[in-house]
Amino acid sequence: MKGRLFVLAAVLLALSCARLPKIVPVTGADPSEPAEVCGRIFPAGKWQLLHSIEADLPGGRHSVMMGLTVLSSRRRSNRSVIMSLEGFVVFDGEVNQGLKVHRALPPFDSPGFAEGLMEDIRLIFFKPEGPAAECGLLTDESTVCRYKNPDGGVVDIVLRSTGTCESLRYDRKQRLIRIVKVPADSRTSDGVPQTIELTAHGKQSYKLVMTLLEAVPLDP
Amino acid sequence: MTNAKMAVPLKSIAVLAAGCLLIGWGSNWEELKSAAASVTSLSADFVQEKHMQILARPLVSSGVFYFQSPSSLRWEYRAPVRNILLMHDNRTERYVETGHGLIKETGAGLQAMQIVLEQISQWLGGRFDENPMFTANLEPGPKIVLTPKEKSFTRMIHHIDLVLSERPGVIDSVFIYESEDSFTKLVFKNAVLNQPIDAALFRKVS
Repeated sequence: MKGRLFVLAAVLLALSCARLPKIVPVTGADPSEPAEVCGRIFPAGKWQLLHSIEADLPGGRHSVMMGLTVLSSRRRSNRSVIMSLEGFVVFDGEVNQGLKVHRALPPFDSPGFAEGLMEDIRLIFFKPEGPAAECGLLTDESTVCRYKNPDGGVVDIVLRSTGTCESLRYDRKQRLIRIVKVPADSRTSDGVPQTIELTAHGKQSYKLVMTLLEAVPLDP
Repeated sequence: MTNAKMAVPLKSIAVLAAGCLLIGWGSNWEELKSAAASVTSLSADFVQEKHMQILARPLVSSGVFYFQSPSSLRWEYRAPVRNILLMHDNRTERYVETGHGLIKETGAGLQAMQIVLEQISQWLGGRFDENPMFTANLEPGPKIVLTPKEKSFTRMIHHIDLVLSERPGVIDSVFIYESEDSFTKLVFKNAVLNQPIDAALFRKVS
């Protein structure tokens, strides 16, 4: 048991210390090609998405909820609703040229919750803003596109050779704070991810496993 | 308040609907209470629609429930996410389907179930007008309108309409209004009244 705890602690320590990896440019390749491929992993157009969300929360708590997201990739807007499994709305917020919270019941009304949720939604569903600052390969030969965040942080979009897609968010001190994984072959024919794993590191670590229940394309 | 607690009012109303699905309506509270006394067991399928202004189409879930007098209940969502509430012998349990199978919820969720259990005897006894959480009005239609007594509770539920069928004792639908542009509709069908129900259904999830 002690050995397992040591390994777990070592893994957590390694993750908490994960830093921005170096990118190796691909010589002779079209520099715009990787960025184009990286951009394709995000749902395009306007969608109504319903997920079940299994959450591993601080303190060993485990919870299952439903998440409804109505998003527009063009406008970079979203309306996100968290519901109990019975459909009772505990949080309803919107980002459309600013954040607006329509409903937030305890504990979803805590300071910073809405902003944090919307940052996670952005990382999961939207291509980072602006052009890629850097593209190339990681040491394991995964394709990577690096974007600078306005907050001084960085988002890496990584396409693993296994087919898994990852969005890695680093804070301005280049510490890894979010990992979003979409496993290989986990997309609908429209390219909407069917399974999404989000792991948050930092003071409030948590893990979300989102399973797509419904994807409704909406009029643009 | 925890997420699980938020689910309590909805479950309570669902239980209420279960209770009065086939209890023979009267024109006043006394007749309604009298009719409720004849219910020994009840089972039915249900379809639930979540309506919100932002939705292109409502979110639909479905399931089945079983009730055995005086206070045993199995309320089971089967789709899209399997989720089972069991109440029996003064114990309440909730199970949710996850990637690791059905897991039992603990802590605050259980506490919340206890609240449901306390309410169920009132609903199933037809004592709609004695519930500590809601003020009940019997209105033409016929329908029962439940309004939260505490103002803080209206943040969660604005009001609830129980629409009664023309068929005596049958409820057509339940509308739970959370806000002006968000409500949940429950519709019941295939109701079976006063038939034996295997007691294991209230103790085990499978």
